[in-house]
Amino acid sequence: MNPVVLIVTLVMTAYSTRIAGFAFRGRTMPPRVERFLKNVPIAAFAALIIIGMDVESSGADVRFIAAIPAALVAWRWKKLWLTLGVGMAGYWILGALGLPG
Amino acid sequence: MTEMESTSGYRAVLREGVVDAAPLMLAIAPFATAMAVAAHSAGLRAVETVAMSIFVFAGAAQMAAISLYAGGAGVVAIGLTTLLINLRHIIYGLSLDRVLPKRTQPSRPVLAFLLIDEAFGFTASRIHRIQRPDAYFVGVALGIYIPFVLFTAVGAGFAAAIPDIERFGLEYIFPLAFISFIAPMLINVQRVAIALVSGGLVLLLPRFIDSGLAILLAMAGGALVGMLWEDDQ
Repeated sequence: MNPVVLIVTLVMTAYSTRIAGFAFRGRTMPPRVERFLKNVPIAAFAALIIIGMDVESSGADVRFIAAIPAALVAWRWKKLWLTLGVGMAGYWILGALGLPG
Repeated sequence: MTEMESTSGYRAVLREGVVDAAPLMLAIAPFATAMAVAAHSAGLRAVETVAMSIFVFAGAAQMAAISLYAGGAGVVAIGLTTLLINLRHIIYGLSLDRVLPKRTQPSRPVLAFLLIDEAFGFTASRIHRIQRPDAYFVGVALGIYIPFVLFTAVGAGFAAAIPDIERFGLEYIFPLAFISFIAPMLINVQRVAIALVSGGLVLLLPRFIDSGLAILLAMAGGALVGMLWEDDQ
């Protein structure tokens, strides 16, 4: 396949899904649809966390354990840097200790 | 408000978005570099790999497309796979559309190009304390787009000389960022239920259906539970 075809295909599949949701241009929606959409962020974040845990690959146990102190820090202090620092430190330390992974 | 004040306000919020996204660079840089190295070994020229990042700006879809391309897959298979991976952007767009001003700067078709997990995530998690969500969204997205393209170029240009950075596991930064978004939001049983349903579905569904579709259904399932819960109140 010509790489240009590959790139054009990706541009089309990426952009079409990105523009689709914006079609309403801020128009008000039925209340139930509003309630559904209001809850999308939490549902999306939860799914993205699980995807990032990469359960099929090695080290998933360590990623889940290291997420606990990171989540507590995030909940208490609401600081991104701190959450990332505590999470990565926990991940590296547990990995160095050779915990199951 | 004068024109000047409104512009400087816009710029200040945009800058805030760039700064907030900065920590993610630690994960974006090795990811984009590794992706470019993979593209090199799949037979793409450096200019093609960089063009892909400039025009597509969808890390997960690009990575999947490159591995399919390397395996000799056809355009239909690659198109369908990347479409499925990107389906979740539809509900991000719907969700963001309702909180953005009617007239955004830049216009919605331009904002749509920048719609990625992280830009949606930062904007949605800070929506109540930012004046200009469109400016903030653009700031976060550019704070990721620029290093993404630059490090794609680094990886494409020096593919042979890149050390093995994957062993540091820096991609773990992505779920950690979403943990920092979600933790302060889990303040009642309804929200915990939404998270559990969505997280549970994304673990279970890929055993039965395509993973891109599974992600969309998991997110929709979680949000649906939240909606039904409120219907009951």
